[in-house]
Order: sequence, then structure tokens, then C-alpha cells
Amino acid sequence: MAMRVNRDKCTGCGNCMFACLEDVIEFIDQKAHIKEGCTLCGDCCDACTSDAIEKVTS
Amino acid sequence: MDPKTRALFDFYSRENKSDFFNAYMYMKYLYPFEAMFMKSLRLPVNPGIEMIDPPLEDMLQAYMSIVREAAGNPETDVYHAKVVQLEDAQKIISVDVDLHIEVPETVVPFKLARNILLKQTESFAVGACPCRLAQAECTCMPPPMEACLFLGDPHASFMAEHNPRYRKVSRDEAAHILEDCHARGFVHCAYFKKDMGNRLFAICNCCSCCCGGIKVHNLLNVKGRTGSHVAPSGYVATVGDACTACQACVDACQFHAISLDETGERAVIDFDKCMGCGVCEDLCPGEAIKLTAEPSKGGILDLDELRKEFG
Repeated sequence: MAMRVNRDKCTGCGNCMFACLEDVIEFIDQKAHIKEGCTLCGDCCDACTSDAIEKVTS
Repeated sequence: MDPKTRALFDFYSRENKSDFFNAYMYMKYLYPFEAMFMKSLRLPVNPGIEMIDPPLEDMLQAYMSIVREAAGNPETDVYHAKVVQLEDAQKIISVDVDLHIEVPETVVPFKLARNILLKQTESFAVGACPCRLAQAECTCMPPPMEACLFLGDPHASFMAEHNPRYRKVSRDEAAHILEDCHARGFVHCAYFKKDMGNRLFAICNCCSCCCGGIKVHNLLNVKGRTGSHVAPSGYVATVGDACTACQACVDACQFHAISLDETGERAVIDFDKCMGCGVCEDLCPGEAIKLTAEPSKGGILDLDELRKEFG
């Protein structure tokens, strides 16, 4: 399982970065990128304003 | 209907009437709104902020999500700030004629909410800074923390009437408040908001430890990402030879734009991070810092110039 950012939907608003307690979200070319250390808590999904993050079976 | 509420309602054109409800809620419940915002940034919140009923809390949450979704994107942002120098803030509150200016996007780099609408007989309301009050511990300013200046009717009068922590002040008092805040090293931010009439509605006096706006700006100003709801002033600061590396500016910069260079003998200002607020220039004991206009950082919100061109 992993959290995946849909780069087409991501607007770079940064809400996921605020929500992440583990501080594992960074930005590359204006799009959110989830680094190692993610605990799959899903707070980023909840915070995302454009439905760009989902939990997937990778 | 209460007369100040009526005046607020009448302010909005028919097509923008729904903004009245946003504005009413935002102004009346400003403190719970800020507390909610601070909580969303995972900051400890002052338990003394008034509680509100769950339905109202839900509405404020929804309102916050609208603002957050639009935030930082020049096309959509509905609530943004332009950093201004003290003199430019003073010019804004000194206007004594009817003024309607659509500020160009070079100055306020957002598609929406760029108007300055001020009247000859001007109204000012000052209140306890909502960000500072919402924090569990603010050590920047003693109570009553009056650093939040609403300007222009009907909104300023509505605040003074319907928000218990706000009061009407004279133009002179407003000027004095700006001076006092400047002496504390606060950054002057001219705030514009779509639902407050697509216009400049307040001047905030900010610090990075307390101000929600500055916090979000600093947190989002990371590698790989651009776009903020806070626009730089259009000035940039540089350090000259008189610098003694006392580090007063390093500590005072609310945007963390100043550090010592490799030699440790001179302060150096990060061009990209500098927002041209002028705090460092005024507090440098050796007068080693100068602000100059920098077109690549946008136009300056100088009311004298804007009136000449657009007023």
C-alpha cells in the first residue's frame, strides 16, 4: 500500500504538507511528492483540496 | 435589521450578494476562525477564544476550505496581502478624498480582489490581532494587542459595532498604531479580500511567530514550489559596508531571509526570500541596509503614484 499523488490533479496548494505529521511531503516542480517514512495515515488525502491523493495497492 | 448590518448588506451588488454572508461570518466570528486556522496548522490554540455552536463551526470550516483551495494561485486566490513600507501604509490611511482604484496586477499579482475603495470621511476600526490572540502564547505584544486595522466602511463600522474586541479609532490613532507596530519590528501587510468587496480592507502588522499569513507563506516557500498569498513589496534590501555583523537584522527578519556570509563578518540577504518590508533597514544600528525598488519583485503599492495614474 502507498499514498499516491496524481500529478495532473495536484495544484501545489500545500495543504497536504501542513497536514502531514511525519513531514514526508516535499514539492518537485510544483507538485506534491511523498517521500519515504509515510505511515499511510491518510491525513494528506483528507487535506487535499483537489482529490489528488489516494491510497493505492502499489 | 441592525443598521450596520443593513449597510453591509447594501454594499454588495446583486450578483455579489452571497459575499455578504461570507463577510458577515468572517467579521463576526473572526477569532474562532483564526483559532480554527491555527489548529489546522497544528499550533496550540488559546483556550480563551470564544466557543461557537457546531453548525457555525461547520460553516467556518467550509469557509476556510474555500479560502485554502483558492490560496496561493494568482488566478484563484481570494484573500491575499501586499507587503508595504510604513510610509505606504501611512499614505493609505491618510486618504481624505473619495478614491476608487483598480490596482494593476503588477502591483497586486492576483486576478481577483485588487481594488482600493476609500471615502473622504474614513472609518477605521482596530482590534486585538486575531492571530496573536488565537495563539496559546504570544509574547510579541502586550494586551490589548491592537495590531489589526480595518479600514473603509461599511466593514470597519460593522467590526466596531458587532465584534466586541474592535473599536472605532480616528485617523491619527490609526497612524499611531502603525508607528507603534513598526517600532516592534512588525511587517505591514495590506490585506485584500474578494468577499470584503474585492478590495483592500485591512492593514495587518505581522510577525512570523504569530501571524497565520506569514507562517503559511514561510512554510510554503520551499524548494520546488512557488506561489504565495503574500506578495512582496516591490523593494529589496541589500547590506552595505557599514555592516558590523551584529545580527540584529538576522533575528528581526520575519521571512528568515538574512544570514551571515561565509566570513561571518557581513550580513547577506537572500534576494528571493526578501519581501522588502523595510524592518531591517530601520533597525540596523549602523544604517548599513538600504531598500531599493526592484521591478522583478513587482510594482510598489504607492498610493501617490497610483492616484497619478489611475485615481
